[in-house]
Amino acid sequence: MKVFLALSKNYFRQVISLINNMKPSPKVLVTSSDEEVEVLCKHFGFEFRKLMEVQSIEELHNYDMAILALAEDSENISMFKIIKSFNIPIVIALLHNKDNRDIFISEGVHYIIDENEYINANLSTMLLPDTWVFITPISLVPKIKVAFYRVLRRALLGISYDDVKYLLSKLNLNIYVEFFNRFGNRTTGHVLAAGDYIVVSGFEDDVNKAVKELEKLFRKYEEIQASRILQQIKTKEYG
Amino acid sequence: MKFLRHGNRNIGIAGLSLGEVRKAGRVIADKMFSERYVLFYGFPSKRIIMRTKVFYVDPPLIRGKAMKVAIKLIHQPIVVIINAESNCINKDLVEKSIDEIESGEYAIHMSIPYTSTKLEMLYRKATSILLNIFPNVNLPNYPSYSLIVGVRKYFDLDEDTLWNYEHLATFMALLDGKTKVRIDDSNCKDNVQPVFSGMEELFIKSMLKSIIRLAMRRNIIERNIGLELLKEIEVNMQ
Repeated sequence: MKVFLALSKNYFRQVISLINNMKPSPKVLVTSSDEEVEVLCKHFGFEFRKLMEVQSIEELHNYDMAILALAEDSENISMFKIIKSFNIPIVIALLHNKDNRDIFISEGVHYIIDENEYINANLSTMLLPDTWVFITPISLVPKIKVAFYRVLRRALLGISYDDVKYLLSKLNLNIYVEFFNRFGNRTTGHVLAAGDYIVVSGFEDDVNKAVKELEKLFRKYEEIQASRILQQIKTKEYG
Repeated sequence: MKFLRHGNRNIGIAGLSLGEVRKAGRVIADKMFSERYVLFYGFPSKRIIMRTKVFYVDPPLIRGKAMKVAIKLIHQPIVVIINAESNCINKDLVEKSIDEIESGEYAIHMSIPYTSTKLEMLYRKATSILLNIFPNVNLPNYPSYSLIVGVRKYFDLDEDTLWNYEHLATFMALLDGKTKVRIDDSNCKDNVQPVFSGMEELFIKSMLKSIIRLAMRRNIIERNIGLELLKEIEVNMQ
């Protein structure tokens, strides 16, 4: 197998450690704008070319795969435009800004890996309690999805696990649901407590449907709670 | 020449915008250009659907970076960069300036100033400093322009700026000596959006610094003198 790599220095360790584990070991050609990568390539014994030379490498017609992992989206796109004429069957590009996904698709990149999705998901599970956070674990297989939910204020509602499980079993969806406490162990109690995680995984459509139904359940419990509190407050009636 | 007007020329166009595309959107969508892009360098409120390809620049609010990205994206020998929020840009005006550059009369053509009053004030200060250092080089009258057409090689620089990238290109072209730069003073004038108020000093400082760094790289001024000038700018502009 022959692999063409356009690497920035930040991704060198990850990509090269992957390629060293491949058997049989592939032929690798690396380009980069960073000097550090050139030094590392000499150490590992990979063939290195400068960015300006890529246009004139005629061997690229025979390559099986190209991975574009440069530091910026614009660099990745311009590199892809140069490679386009060589008709490499598989091209994988790294995406930095979520909004630029459309331009990558319209240029004709085959597979896109969204790096910021994982950063975003990790941060938002910590910063935003009581909201659903979605993530696609492998972005090359877009139909599989995982949804996380961290319970904080809604723990006051006193929803039992059996209620949630009963609701989801009625829907007949192809999903897997699990509850964890805040230490990452499986929960042993009966009621959702503060800091608990709900994890729903499965096909994209099924997960979306399940999340919608669960949100409805929470809303209903909130309504009941609100009406109970209203009855307790003493109000004066005028007129 | 009708066949050139409707066919593909070797020109790429990029429209820079903070979040809105006005009259200039029609110019960008013209099929005369073989590469067409709209670059958003602000925080657009809603998802924008357009006929042309849309690119979102990171980090946002930095015009110099957006222009650099535009030049990276376009692979044609002649580059057109316009302000997509402008109301002054016509198709005829753009076409005329492209014709001049294709015929070889000029290397860079700029028109329609894009300024605020405070930016202009500070820019005058900066030009007076630059005139003392490079007496032979005439820089443009205004700190930024809405319509910039030029040969790609002058824009392909390593230097980074926050606001005005076009000045570096003109500086490079003027140093070449053989090439000509044309700067039109059209009647129309675009106003800089209020988002940038308060940042003017930083913008002008970064332009001054990058011009001096460019000159140091090309051995036009000595390294020691250049480093001293960079220190002086920090004090003088405050």
